[in-house]
Amino acid sequence: MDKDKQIQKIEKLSLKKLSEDSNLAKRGLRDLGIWPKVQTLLKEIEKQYFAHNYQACLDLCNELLSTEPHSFPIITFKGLSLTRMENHKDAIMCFDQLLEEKPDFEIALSNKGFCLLKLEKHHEAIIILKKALSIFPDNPVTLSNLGYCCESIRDYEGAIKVYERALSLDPENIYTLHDLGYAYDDIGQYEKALEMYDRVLYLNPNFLTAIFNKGRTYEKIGKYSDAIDYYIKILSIDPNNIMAKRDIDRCKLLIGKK
Amino acid sequence: MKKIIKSNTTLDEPLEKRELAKTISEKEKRLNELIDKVEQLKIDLTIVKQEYEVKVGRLYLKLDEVDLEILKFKKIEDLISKGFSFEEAQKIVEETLKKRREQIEKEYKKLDEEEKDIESRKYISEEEKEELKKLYFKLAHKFHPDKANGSEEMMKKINKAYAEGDIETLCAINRSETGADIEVKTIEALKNKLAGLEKSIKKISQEFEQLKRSEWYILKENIEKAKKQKRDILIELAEKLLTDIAKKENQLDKLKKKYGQG
Repeated sequence: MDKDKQIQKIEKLSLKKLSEDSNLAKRGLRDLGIWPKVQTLLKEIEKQYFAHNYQACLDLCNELLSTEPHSFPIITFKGLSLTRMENHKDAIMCFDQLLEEKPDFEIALSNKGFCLLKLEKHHEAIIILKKALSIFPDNPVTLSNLGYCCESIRDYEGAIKVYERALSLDPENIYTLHDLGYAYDDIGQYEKALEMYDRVLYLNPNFLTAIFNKGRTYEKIGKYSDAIDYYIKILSIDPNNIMAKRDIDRCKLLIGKK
Repeated sequence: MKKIIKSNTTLDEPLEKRELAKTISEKEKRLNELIDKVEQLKIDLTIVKQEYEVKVGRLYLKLDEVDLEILKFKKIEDLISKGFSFEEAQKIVEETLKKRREQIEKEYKKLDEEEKDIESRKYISEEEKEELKKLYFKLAHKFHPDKANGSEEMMKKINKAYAEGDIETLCAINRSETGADIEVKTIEALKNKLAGLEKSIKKISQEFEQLKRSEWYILKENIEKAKKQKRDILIELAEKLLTDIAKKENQLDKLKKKYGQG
């Protein structure tokens, strides 16, 4: 007998080997009702996910995948948990596995698109997100992500179209409103940009990014004192904001030059 | 270790040294007991594992195989609905399911190995089994990696011989290897030895606890519990699996007939 084979055979008495080979035992324990059944664990996975306990959800998924390696719902929750935990690369691997089985699985497409966006692979993300929208055209999250990707590759017109569609579905989404405002600013439609920021601040007066960007837009059209008003607003919420302090100084200087 | 105790009984030996030697001897006894316990448990669990794999494991793999076949037809149906011919669809699907099929085959091979092992042990008489066990424990005490003169390599050799019921090899190891203890003289050396022993005891205790948390241990406990109520849960599980397999095979037959593959 050759040496490698010898060692392999002996190891089955070892602790490591016993636990490595236990997947079939786990299945038996579940089917015998000694351990919770797969269905029960799936409910637990769902519960943990929606309670935002992503690590607990992921642990449960991995445990179940050791005996149910091809379970569609478990891989889905694993992918979603990884996405929320910002492990985008591993999440994409899960979504790819799902898409191999079911190429038009919208949840996998939409979330894969989001992960690609986070990895700054905007072109790839746009393809996937568009595919997701071809299946579920009214998903506001997918639309918003697509808009962001378009903006990232400087396709501002495309971004505006997507954001407008997202807004028609969810008119009070402050993030979409803000992003649309930003896109209008990008193409020089400052009045429209200001209008969007107003709508955001009406819904949430303390949305710092919108306050800051509104100040910037005012600066672009030369309304420095209006801009200063907004930078001051930032300081009233966040007194130590160095950037706002610098912005005020800059605007004051510009008013002086004028 | 008897050597130390003997040499330390002379009156001129300092008290500390004698007490240390006494503790060492107690700890060694404890370590040997623990090694026995762990090795015995590993043997028990391996037997549970082998029994389970023969009675139940194979059925799970069969179930996976039938599931895979059903999945194959479902995927083929899906592709046909998209305009592929049966042959084209079959080719595509076979390729995508290749990995899963290989995985099942690998699992089967593992079980075959296990069964060969059980076969080889079947023809040993009860007396031989007892003898084998005695020898095994004797050698395990000497060569367990947690012992001062232990060796992982030697322990592997011993485990292999035991698993295969190979008394000859065990006897040969017993004759050729002395594994004699080295006499320890200074107090510092004794203290080091004691610390080493304590470390080993801790390690092996942890291993024991870990084994008790393993799937095989839980299974073993439940099998024994059921036996007291005159139930054989492995047979019950096997019957349930056989029913599941039969149901799925029916489903598969219908699919095969539909595509003239039956």
